[in-house]
Amino acid sequence: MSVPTATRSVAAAAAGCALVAALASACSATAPRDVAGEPPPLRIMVKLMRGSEDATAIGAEASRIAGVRVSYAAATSAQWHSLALHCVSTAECDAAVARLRAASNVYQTVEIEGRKARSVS
Amino acid sequence: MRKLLICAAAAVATFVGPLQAPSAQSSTVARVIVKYRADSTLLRKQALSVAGQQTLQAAALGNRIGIALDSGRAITERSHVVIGRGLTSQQLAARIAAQSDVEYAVPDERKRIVEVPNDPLYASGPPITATSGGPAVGQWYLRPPPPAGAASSTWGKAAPSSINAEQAWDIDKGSTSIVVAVLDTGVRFDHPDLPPKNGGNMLAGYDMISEDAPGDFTSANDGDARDADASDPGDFVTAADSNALGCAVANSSWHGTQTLGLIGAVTNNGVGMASVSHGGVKVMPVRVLGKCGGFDSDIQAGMLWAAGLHVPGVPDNANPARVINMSLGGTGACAQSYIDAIGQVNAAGAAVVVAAGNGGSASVGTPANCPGAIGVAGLRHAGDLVGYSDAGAQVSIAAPAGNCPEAGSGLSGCSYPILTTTNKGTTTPIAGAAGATYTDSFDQSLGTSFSAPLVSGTIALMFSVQPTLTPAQVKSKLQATARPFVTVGAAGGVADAPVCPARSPTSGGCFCTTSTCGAGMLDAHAAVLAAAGVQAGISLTTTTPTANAAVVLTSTSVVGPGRTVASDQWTILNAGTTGATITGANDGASVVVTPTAAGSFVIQLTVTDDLGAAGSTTLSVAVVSGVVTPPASTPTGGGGGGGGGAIDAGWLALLLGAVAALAATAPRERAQSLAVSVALRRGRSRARSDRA
Repeated sequence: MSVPTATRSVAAAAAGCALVAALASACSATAPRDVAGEPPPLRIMVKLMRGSEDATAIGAEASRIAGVRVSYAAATSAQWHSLALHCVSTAECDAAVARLRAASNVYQTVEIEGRKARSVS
Repeated sequence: MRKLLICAAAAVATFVGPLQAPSAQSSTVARVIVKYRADSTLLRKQALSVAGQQTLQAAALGNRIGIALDSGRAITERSHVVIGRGLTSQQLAARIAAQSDVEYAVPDERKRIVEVPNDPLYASGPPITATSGGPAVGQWYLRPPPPAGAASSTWGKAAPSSINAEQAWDIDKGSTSIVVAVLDTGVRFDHPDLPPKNGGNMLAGYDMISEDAPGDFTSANDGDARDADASDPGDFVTAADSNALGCAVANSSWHGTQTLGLIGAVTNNGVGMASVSHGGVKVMPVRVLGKCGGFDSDIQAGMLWAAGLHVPGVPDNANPARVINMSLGGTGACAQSYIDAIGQVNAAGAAVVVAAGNGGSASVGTPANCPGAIGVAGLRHAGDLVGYSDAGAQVSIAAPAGNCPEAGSGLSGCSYPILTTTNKGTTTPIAGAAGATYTDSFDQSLGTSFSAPLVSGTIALMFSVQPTLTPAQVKSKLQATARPFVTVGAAGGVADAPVCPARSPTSGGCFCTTSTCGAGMLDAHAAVLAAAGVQAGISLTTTTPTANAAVVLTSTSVVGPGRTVASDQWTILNAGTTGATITGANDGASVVVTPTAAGSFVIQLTVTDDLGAAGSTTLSVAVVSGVVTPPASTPTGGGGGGGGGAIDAGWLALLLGAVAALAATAPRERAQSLAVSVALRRGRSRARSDRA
C-alpha cells in the first residue's frame, strides 16, 4: 500500500489546485476545499502522548501513520490538535482513523471532530 | 487554709483572664421594636413627653429582663425602639416578647433600597405594532419573582422563573476585576448599549475560528483564520454556503451580541437594557462560531485561551476570565477533548456555563453534559420546562429561556422573550447606532442560549463579592440557593404538561424535577448572598488545650466586601470525653471553653453578617490531661503537683463561684475589656471590608 508523505500531499494539493484553476480560471480562498472528486476532508482531533507545537511535524507523522493525506488544521493546546484527513471514500477514512487509534505510542486519543451550533430555539 | 485561698485565687486568676476576653459580644447592639399591651403597667402616664415616658418605659423593661435598655425612636404612644447591648436583636426580642404585657417585640432590621435600573427597556419594551415592539413586560426575567404559589393575575411584570437580579445588585454591582468570556459568534462592538472597548468594560477578545481547509475561510467569513479581531461579520448562510457546509440557509443571528448583552450591557445609563452583572464586570468576546457553527477544536482553544492558558500560535490572554459562557452545543456524549479542556479551565479558576440545548429531548447536549460544566436548562416564564429545552441528569440549574404563551392562539408577538442587544443587518452588519437594536416580541430571542448568560452573569457577581471561590464552590452555591421548581397545577403552567421527563404532547413542556432540570430555578440574589456570605473560621488561641484550664477560641471569619459581622454563635457540638462546656457568653468574637478531662471536643461557630448571610465551621480540639492539684490533696499548698485527672466537683463549684463573684465586682475591668473588644471588632470589620 502506498503511503503518501506530507511533501507528496502538498504537491498533490498544488497539482489539484492548478487543475481546478485551469478548469475554472480561479483558485480563490472560497474555491472547493479539496481536489476535484474528493469528498470533504474528515476532521479529527488527536491528543499526543508527548505535547508538541510543531504543526508540520504533527501533520507529517499523522499522514505517515494514517496512510492518507493529512493536513494540519488547528491547535487547541500542545497536546490536542485538529487534523483533516483527505480520503477518497468513507471506508478509506475509517481505516485511516483505525490506524491512528492503533498508534497508541503516539496518540492518547483520536476523536472525530464535530461542529457545535448556537443554542437557539 | 491561707495557702488554700492563695491556691484558689491563683486558679481563679487563671480563669478570669480568658473569661474577660470573650466579652466582645458586648459590642453587639440589639435593636428591637416593642409594642406594649394597652393595659401594660409600663404605660402609666407620667408628666413627661412621649420621649421621656418611653425612656422610663425602656429602663423599667430593662430592669425586668436584666438588661440595660435605652429608648430609641418613638413609633406610637405604645410602641418604640429599644436598644440593648451584648446580645443580638433576635435574642433581645425573644426576651422582651416573653413579658406578659408586651403585645409584640421584633428585631428592628435594616432594610435597603432595592434599586431599579433606569434603562427604559427594563421596564417595558417599545410599543407593540403589527410587526415590532414589546415585550410589554420588559426585562421580566431579571425582576424579583412573585411569592411562590401566587395567582398569575398578581405577577405583574415578573414571573415565577424571574431570577431576582434586582436584589443581587443591592449586594454588589460587579467588579471590573472579574472577566466573563463569551464564546460565540463575536460581537458588534459598535452597539451603544455595550461597554466601549477602549477604556470600558469590553475587552478586545480574540477570533479563534480557523480555516475550514487550507485557504478556505467560509465558516469564518472574515477572509482569514485566527486573528485578534473578535467582531462579528455576520454568520448568514447562502445557498452556496449551505452546500459547502451542510446547514440551512439563514440570515445573520448576531448571537454573540445577544448573549453578551445579557451578561454585560451597560446598566442604569438611561439607554436600552440592563444586564445581569449590572454592567459592572468585564466582558470578553471570543469568536468560535461562524457560518454553520464552529469546530470543537476552535471552541476548546477559545476556552483555554479565555482562561489564560496557552494556545499554540496565539498570543496569551492577559485578562483571564473567571466565567466562560457557551451558548452552544451539539448532540452526543461528552468527548475526551472537552473533558480535558473543561478540567484545565476549572483548574485555572474559571467556571464553564453551557446551554443544555434545544432538542426538546431527555438527553442533555454536549458539552453541557461534561463533568465540570454548569449545564443550564430553559424555563418558561411560569417556571415549568420550556418545550424545546433539553433536560436530564447532567443539568445543573434552570433559568428563563423565553417562551410565547400565545403560540397557536392566533395572537401575534410573544409575551415572554428574552429581550437583548442585536443588530439590524440580515447578512452583513449595519454599522453604528443605525444598526444597533434589541430583540423584541417579534424578533425573538428564545433558547437555552439565553438561559446560560443569566447564570454566567450571576456567577460573575458571585466572584465579584468573593473572588476566592472555586468553580466547584460556585456551582455548589448556585445549586444550594436555587428556588424549588413549580409543581404540577401551578398557575401559569402548561395545562397538559406532565412531570418531566414525560413531555406534553402539544408544547413539549413538563414540570421540572431535580433529576431532570438541575437543582432548581436560578435565584441570583440568593446565590450572590451565599457567595458574599461568611467564610467562617476558628483560631485556637490556647497553645496546649489542657483539662481544667480555659481554652480560648477566636473567630477568624471573613465576610464579603463592605459587610460587617452582625453576630457570632458558638456551640459545643460534641464534648466527647472532655466534658467541655462554654464558660460565659457564647456569642462573642471569642469564646472560652472549659474541658474537665482529656480527649477531644468539637465546637461550631456560626457567623452572620449584616445582610443576614451566614456561614459555619467546626473545629475539633484535642485536650491533654491537666496538672491540677485538688485542694484536698494539697492541704499545705506549695509547688509540685503531678497527678491531674478529673477535677473535684466541690473544687469546681468553688472556682466558678469565685469567678462569678469576681466578674460581678469588677465592672471596671469588664469595661476595659469591652473597649478592647470593640476596637478589635472595628479593626476586624475594616479588614473584612477590603476588596480582594
